[in-house]
Amino acid sequence: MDNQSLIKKTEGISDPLVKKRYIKYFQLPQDLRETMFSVETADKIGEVAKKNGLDNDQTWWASHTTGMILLGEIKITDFVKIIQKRCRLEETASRQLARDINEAIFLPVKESLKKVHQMSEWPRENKETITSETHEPRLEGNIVDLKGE
Amino acid sequence: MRNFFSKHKKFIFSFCLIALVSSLGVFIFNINTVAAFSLNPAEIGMSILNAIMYVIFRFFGLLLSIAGYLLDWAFGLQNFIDVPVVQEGWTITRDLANMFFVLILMVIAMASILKIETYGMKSLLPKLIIVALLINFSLVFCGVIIDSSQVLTSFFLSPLTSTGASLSENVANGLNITKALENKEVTAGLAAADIFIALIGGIIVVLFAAFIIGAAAFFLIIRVVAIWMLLVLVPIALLAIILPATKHLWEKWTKNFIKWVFFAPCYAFFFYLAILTITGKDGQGGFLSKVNSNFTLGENAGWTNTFFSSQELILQYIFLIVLLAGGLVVAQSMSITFAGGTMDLAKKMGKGSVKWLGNRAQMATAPTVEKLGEKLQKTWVGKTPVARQAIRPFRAFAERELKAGAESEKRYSTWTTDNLKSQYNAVNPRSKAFISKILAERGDLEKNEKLGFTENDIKKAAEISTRYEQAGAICKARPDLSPLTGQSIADTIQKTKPADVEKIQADALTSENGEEVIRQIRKQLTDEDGKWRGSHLSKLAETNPKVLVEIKEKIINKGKGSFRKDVEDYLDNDVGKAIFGDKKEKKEPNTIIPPTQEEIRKYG
Repeated sequence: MDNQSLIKKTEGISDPLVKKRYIKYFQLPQDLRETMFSVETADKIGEVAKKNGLDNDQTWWASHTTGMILLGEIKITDFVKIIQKRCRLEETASRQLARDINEAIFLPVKESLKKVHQMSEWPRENKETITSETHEPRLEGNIVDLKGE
Repeated sequence: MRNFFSKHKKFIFSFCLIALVSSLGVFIFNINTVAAFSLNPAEIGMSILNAIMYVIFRFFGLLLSIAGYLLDWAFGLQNFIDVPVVQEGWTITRDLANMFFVLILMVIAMASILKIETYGMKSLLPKLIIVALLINFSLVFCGVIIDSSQVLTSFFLSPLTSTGASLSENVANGLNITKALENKEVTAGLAAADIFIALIGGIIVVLFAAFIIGAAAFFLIIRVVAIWMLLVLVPIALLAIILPATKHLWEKWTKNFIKWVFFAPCYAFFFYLAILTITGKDGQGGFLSKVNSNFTLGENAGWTNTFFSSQELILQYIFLIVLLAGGLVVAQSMSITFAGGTMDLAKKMGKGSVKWLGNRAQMATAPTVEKLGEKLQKTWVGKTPVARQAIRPFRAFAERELKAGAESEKRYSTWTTDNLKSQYNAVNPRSKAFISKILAERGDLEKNEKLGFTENDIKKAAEISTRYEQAGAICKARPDLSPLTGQSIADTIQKTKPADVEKIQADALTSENGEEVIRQIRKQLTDEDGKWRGSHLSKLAETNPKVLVEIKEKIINKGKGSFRKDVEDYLDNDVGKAIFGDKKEKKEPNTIIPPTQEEIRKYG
């Protein structure tokens, strides 16, 4: 089914916010679209939540924020900060959670995510290059700080 | 004495003839002043010639008179049906045709068994039924056509006969034939020659008029006989429709029938025009007073006392004869063209209507015939070596139906969705079944009032598609219509696989059975033995957002915590919730994400 047909399918959605985000969703690369609603992604989030000892509410927010990043609605550079805030976690715990989600969800689709977030390099690969980029959303450092520094 | 007469019989006979003819000149023409018995040989010769010419003139006058009577009679004829020749003849041919039906039914049965498509059940049975009905009412139908032509004829001729004069009298008045013998002022010596010339002119005019009127009367009489014969043969002609090899006979019959029936009104029209041209409407004067030629008509100098004296009269003769002759030719041509045109039209209409009726008959009988075949297959008939051959026609019929359906599907599969919807109501039921199947498989079995594809059409499509075993696709798209196909909504929902949810139409959740559909989906998501998993919701979210939004609104948001564990887990962990801007998102106080304009508008 082509994008035009999929966008046509959103015609009956009355909520403008949902409609807008759906249209954005249909414009995502194929692998991101598949990741967004897949049962596997949900299972991975479940495993990460279990590993990090998240309660229902925290899990809900973690999955929501992950989805917003896949959609390009939240800057990938803000991931740790937002996770920390919404899940009400300590900084170390939130970094660990972000690291786990990154590994389970983002890394398999990092090339597409780079396009969506207009990044030429994945933060983990070349910190200096990424920080020197002027594209929006602009990266202000390593998004996840995988080295734990 | 006897020898004298024998010897001079030629001379005596000639003398008597001359004397007789000369005396005719005196008595008939009443030309007293002419020295009929003058000894001037030139004048005697002229008188004799005049007498001969007069006889010829009278003869043609008689012919014209007979032609006129015949024309009056033929035009005045009203009844074609209630004549013994037609009544008796038609009854015989009708009975004969009815006998042939038995024979044709046997031919069809054999053809079906032997699978000879030309004479197959499919093409012949509808025709046979229609023809059987038509034959018995054929005379009535033909009568209606003939009556319509007679009404048309009367329409053209009634203005001419309204004065009480017959049609031939109208022609005679137009020809002004008495002028031929009018000799205004007889001058001795020249009178006999003038009469001779007047007679020649009169003969020419009467000859032409007699020929033209005679030809018209002849054609009209031929028409009567032709119509009688055609009426007698109509049952046989109708019978010829049934078999392809004899169909041309029916076409020939129709062409001839239309040609002869409508010859009369065509000619009546031109006849009316011809008389009107000469005499003028309501006696207002003929065409000559209207044409305004630069040349003024008057008397022919030198012929002031003869037939050719009036230039106006000569023109009238010429025009009337030419108009009548032209009218005859054009009427012939018109009726033939009309017959040809009518035949072409009838062929097209006939082809369409027979095809339409055939399709309907086939559509209506298809399920019964197929079921009958299936049932027979299971009985002793299907198991007995010789008797089971009787099932072959049923099987062949069902196979043909499926084959035709497959062809329809192949043809329509390349059409756009909008084209399919706009054409839906213009196609036969079989095509409807396959069009709705294609739409359902495309996930677009959605009403479109602009294209004339209504909710009612979708419901009918569900019913029709059941006959062609295509209801599965419709049920997947519209589970709410499952009862129309003989299935339950619960079964349909339970059997729905993740790959099928893409095709579900949002109308399925909002129609009159929508609540049952929602109840069944909830059941599948909550019951321990429910078949719907996270993958159903995942596929819905990915491909069918409109329906997912409905399900979220009517099932998920209302039943949180009541779903089966696997479903609950999916709903909790699904990252796709980001798209739906859940309530929690709204409550989150310390978000660092700047809200979008729409979010500001929506949530304040």
